[in-house]
Amino acid sequence: MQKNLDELLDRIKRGDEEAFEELYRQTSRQVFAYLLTIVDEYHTAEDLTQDTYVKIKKGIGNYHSGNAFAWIMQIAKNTALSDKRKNSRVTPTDFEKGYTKEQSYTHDFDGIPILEIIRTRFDDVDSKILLMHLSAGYKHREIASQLKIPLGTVLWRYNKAIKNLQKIIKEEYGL
Amino acid sequence: MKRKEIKQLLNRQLDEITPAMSDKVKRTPLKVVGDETAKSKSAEKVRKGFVLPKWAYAVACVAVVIVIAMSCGLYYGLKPAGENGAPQTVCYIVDINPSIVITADKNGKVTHISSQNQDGDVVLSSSAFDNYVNMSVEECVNAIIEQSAKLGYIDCNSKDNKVTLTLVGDDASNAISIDAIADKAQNFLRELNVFGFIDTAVSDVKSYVQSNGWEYTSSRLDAYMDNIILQSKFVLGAEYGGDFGKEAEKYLGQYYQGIVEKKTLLERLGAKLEDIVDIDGNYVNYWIYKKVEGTFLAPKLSADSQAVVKECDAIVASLSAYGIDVSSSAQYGYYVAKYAIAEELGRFFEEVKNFIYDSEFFNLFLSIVDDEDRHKFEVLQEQLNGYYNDVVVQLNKQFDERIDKYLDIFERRPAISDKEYDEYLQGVSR
Repeated sequence: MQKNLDELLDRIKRGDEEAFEELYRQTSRQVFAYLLTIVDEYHTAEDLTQDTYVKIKKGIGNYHSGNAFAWIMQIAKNTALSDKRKNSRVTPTDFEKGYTKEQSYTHDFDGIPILEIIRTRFDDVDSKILLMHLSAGYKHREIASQLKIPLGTVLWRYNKAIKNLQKIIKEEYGL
Repeated sequence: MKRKEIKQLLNRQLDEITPAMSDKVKRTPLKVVGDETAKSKSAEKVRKGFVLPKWAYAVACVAVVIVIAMSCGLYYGLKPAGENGAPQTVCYIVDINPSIVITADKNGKVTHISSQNQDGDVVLSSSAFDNYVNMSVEECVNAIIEQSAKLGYIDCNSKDNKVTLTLVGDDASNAISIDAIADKAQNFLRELNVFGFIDTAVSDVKSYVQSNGWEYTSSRLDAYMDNIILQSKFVLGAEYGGDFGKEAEKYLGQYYQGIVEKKTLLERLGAKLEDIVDIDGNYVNYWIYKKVEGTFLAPKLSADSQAVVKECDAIVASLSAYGIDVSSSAQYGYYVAKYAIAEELGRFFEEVKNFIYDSEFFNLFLSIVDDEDRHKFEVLQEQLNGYYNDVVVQLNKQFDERIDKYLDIFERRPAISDKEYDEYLQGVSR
């Protein structure tokens, strides 16, 4: 993936819009999943995903190769944190606080709303660890560094959370 | 539901709700390299504020080369395609006497070449292979034949020359079949006026590994994982205030053996240690390898810990010389120092775990074992996690016990320096 991303970023640097679209296809899910670990609302994560790619377009000239995925995720993180700072003094209205179940991102995928389970039934750290590892593509080591907790704790919490998740799915959905 | 299924389901759900690219993103122009618009005020500000030294660019260039080299490594050539449809590659092994592994993509473009023996090294040292990346496989095979003939590995006067071309991977999905490559090589031999024939074979990775006697069977996997469990037991059971060094060395000795085994396997598959380091993407492997080359424990300890241990040992020794029961501040310090060492061992163990879980070695390993083996691995991995947690709990418990034990002494301690306190204790003893 690294090589592929590097190649794409190289092409984007040369003005290749198709490469940018491919980059979006390949990485937007991870970026979105990662942003969901930083912000609470889905629609904020959506907006920040778009902002991240706008910044990638604007900042591609500053990319000097290396870890392309880490570069993209760093932009996503900076975008989210700067948004958080900007909005820290603004109390969201009820409407802004997120989607209701009816509106909703609580899709009944294959009978199991797994994303919702992770986001609502696990504490903040476990939810972050699960999403970062399962969907955003981070290794345990990288999660430990990002969340500033020991690697052993990350491994332990991840394993415990996965087991809990399996238990919930088994007990409530019979799978 | 298995972990893999959970991951797939979660990602399917995320795919559904990940937003499509908005018009805002689409409308944003790309600030491409060389584009004047790229020189925006903010960019200028960044440049003025933080100018990278020249060497940083050089380092960045080297990093690009390493990344590309990593990506083109033989390892990936042998690794099955990723779940997300990562580009597949195949390996061709050209055996004359020089034995050379060519890794190519599905379009027949060479991504990496490496030798499997010294004669192979000699052939590849030719300038013909200076720019092998993107060379076609046919050209590469022909170049190997030509160099082998020039260097005398192919006898132009003999009628029994044989070149074996083995494809490790799937031939059907390649743009150019192995037979077509062999035909071109046969024609090339004729052009060189050399008698000989090209023999071809196709093998999947597992069969190839097995046919070469490198088989990793269930029993090997069991042994391997048992070894890891055993190692964690050593860490768990080591008496940190006692002969921890001996235990650690034993532990590392076994770990070293494991590293050497894996290294040997990859070397047999044509990779070199440098490739392994790069391929692995984490230098822990290399670090461990280097550490265990000599004595391990001393260099592993940080300078601070070494100083603390030395100092505490000296204090305890001096007190013992006076026949004092060392239940003083020095003893407390001694235990703290030992705990620091235990922590270091714990950190080392974390790194070992990190190495095991993240290691591409292990992925390679798993790619050549069957589902039954994988299941065993998962079970053993759970055990390993359990042992690791026990280590953490054990360390915390020991530390708490020690704090409790010496807290009273500390609280009743007169308000004097360590040195004065030790002198005071010595005086009491006299």
